[in-house]
Amino acid sequence: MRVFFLLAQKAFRRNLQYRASHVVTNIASAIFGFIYIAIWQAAAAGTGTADYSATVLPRYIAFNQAMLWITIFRQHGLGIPEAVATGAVSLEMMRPVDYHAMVVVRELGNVWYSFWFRTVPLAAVFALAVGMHVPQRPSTYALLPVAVGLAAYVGLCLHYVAGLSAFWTIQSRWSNQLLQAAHFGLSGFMVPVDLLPGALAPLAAALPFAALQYYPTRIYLELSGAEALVWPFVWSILLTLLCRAMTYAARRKLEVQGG
Amino acid sequence: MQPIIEAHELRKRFRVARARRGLLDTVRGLFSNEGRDVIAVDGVSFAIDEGSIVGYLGPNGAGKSTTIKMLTGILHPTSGEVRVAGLSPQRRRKDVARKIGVVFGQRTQLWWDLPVRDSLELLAAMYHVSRTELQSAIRAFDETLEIGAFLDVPVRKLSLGQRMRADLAAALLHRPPVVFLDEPTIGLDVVAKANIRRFLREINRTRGVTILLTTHDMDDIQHLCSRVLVINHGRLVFDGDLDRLRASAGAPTVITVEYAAPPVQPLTGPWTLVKLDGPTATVAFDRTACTAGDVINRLGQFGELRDIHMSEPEIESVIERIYTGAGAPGATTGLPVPGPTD
Amino acid sequence: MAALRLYAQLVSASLRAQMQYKIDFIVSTFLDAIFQAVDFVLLAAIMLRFPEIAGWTLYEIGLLYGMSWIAMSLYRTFAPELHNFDRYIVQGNFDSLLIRPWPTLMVLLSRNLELRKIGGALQGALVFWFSASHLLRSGRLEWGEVAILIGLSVTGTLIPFALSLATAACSFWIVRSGDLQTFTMYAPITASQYPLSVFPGWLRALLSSVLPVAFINYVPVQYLLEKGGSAWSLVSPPVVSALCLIAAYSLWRLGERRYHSTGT
Repeated sequence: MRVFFLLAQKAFRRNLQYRASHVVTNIASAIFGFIYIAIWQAAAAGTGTADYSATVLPRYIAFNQAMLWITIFRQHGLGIPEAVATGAVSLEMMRPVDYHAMVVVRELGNVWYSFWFRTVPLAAVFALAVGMHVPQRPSTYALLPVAVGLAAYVGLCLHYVAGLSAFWTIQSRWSNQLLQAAHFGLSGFMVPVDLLPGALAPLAAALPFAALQYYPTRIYLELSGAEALVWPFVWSILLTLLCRAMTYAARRKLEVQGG
Repeated sequence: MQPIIEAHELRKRFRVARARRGLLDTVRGLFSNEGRDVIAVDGVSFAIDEGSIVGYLGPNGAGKSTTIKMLTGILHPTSGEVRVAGLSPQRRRKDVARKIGVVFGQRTQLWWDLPVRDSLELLAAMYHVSRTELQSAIRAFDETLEIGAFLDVPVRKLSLGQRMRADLAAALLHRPPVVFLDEPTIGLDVVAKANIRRFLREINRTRGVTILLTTHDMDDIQHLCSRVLVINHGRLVFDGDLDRLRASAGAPTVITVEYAAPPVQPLTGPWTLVKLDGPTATVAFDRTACTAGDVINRLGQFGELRDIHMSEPEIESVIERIYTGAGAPGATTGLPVPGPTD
Repeated sequence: MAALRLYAQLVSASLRAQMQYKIDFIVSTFLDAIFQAVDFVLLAAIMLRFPEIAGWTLYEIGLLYGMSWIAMSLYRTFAPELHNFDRYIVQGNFDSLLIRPWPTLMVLLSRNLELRKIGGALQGALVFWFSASHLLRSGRLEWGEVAILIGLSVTGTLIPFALSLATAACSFWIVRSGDLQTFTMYAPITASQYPLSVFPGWLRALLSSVLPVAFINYVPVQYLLEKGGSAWSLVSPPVVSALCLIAAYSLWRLGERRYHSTGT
């Protein structure tokens, strides 16, 4: 157990070293956030829908932009494709610690860092610009951390799956690109999922990507309640099972083929 | 005849900025002018005639690559004059570029993802080499460098030896009169090295290509160079041929003689007795102090000589002595400006 | 001219090299296409609910999207080495550009082409065509005006090129110019896909001056859709492109001089 804590801590500390250069990327992220906010503010002006008025939509965008850093902006494949390419992965799998758990915990250190040094500062900056929605319902304060935590976890699982696919595919780049494209279109990052046209809306709502952005933001803006946690929970479990299965398969492949 | 490479009082001074820590310090650094001066090349002068193969030696950080960069137009000297093929690389970089070929041992000049043939075609387009000239050049390179075997292989898939050969072909494609080679044999196996050397001697002999090569490989020097320049701490500490190099380093020449019978003792003369083993005697002497002939004559006075074997000091140790300044007094012969052997 | 011969050779060589890895080429192009498509589809989705953004309809914004993508994709196709230039400084490879009998920028550009990016230009053309044909039918635009916009899309390529050149030139001073690119390229180009009137005044000014992406598409389109501007709006884009290029190239030459002096 202690090992895991140390792994996470080490990852956190490593990030701390580069916090000066992270300031630059934070500024860049803020700029993109402002660009999107301006666009949707203009879009929703006057003709806002029931849920997404001209005040709410910018806050939706802002919250999502801040969340990006703990959900989708992870190192490509959690570093697994690189380890596969160099062969270091066989060493890592040989360790007496569970490989899947090791990778996840290590990444949690990164997530923890990103949360405090990227998400929070960004959220503060956006709050100054578009105002912050202060949740009225006490239940929100309980649900929101859970939603955000699940978003981070689901994001980790998705990246793990994408990274582990390097064991079987030639180009690990593709799986990451696919993941980014799916996130871009289906997570509700740019467009709230329920505003997607036709059959796309219910479909996207059921996919894991929505758990990364859409559901947590809905809870934050108090547009949804605990029902928004259902799909995130389901996907957390399903993806965990998938990750474990894939890890097992990968280990078998390693044992049989020798790396 | 005008030397094809001329350097006169070349100096290069760099301003090295203070190391910055942290974001605030780095930003401050953009606006300050703090730092210290490093003089990489300090008054280097030499002249190289067309058709020679010259070795350029020096320990790391001595100013070797800086000099080469000034000769090729990459860097501009702080002061001093340099001329390659009669032109200033500083003022006429592109014209000089047409007359030189450059091979960097560590990095390739070729297009990484493209087959060798494509690289050569692209270079032909760059240097105004016609298609017929290109074809005959490829044929010639196939004979001398055997590049035909991998003409259609992407450069990134080549072995080091193959890549080096391809780089040489690329550097010589436009038939430059001067070629600069930076560590051309580094990392190659013995056979590959021998082939490269043979090729270089060949183009020098048949086409009179002037070659200036930097190297740490003493065999390169022995097999190729008629003249050697040694730079240390930014100054030229030696300029001359191999014999003078050995002599000036004060490294002893060693003679082993075999007598018919154990010689009369003691074996005294202008030498140091290294070993006396029955009829075999080994002595070391300084070539500048007395000739080999004298030594042999003296040795002959102690008995009947059956066999004589003479060995030159290893170039390796000679160079090392020059680097560390352990030379005979007045060792810096042949230089226009006496430099300190510090 | 010798430069054209060089380029023709480079294009055919690059094509042959890419075709060796057909699968990778196809999949990568396909994935790039998906990304771009999703971008526009999302816009369309939003505009189903919010029919206008600052008074611009989907088809009008589509013109902006199309022209921006064409300019950016053409730039990425022909100048990938400029896009990744700081690698040369970091790895000390700028020297290999200096030993050639050509201006260093030409040698740099002749190192590589990224042919798969041309797909982005084709998609941009598709979106442009989708939007333009609708506007033609509704009488908002005439054929001559569409032709002008097509021409300006191509000359507009010089603006991201100039921005990239200026950013790359910065690496002569700060080495890792890649970090700057988000500010000088990615953010401005993203912003240029939308009507500039949605942005606050200071940002509009910035994108019309120091980072003049407004002249790729917004300035001429705005005028032709009768939303503002004057006849100058059709003349200023190529003029601004040329000025940017000259400014950026001057910075590059300055950086080169510095390199000759300091070597890093």
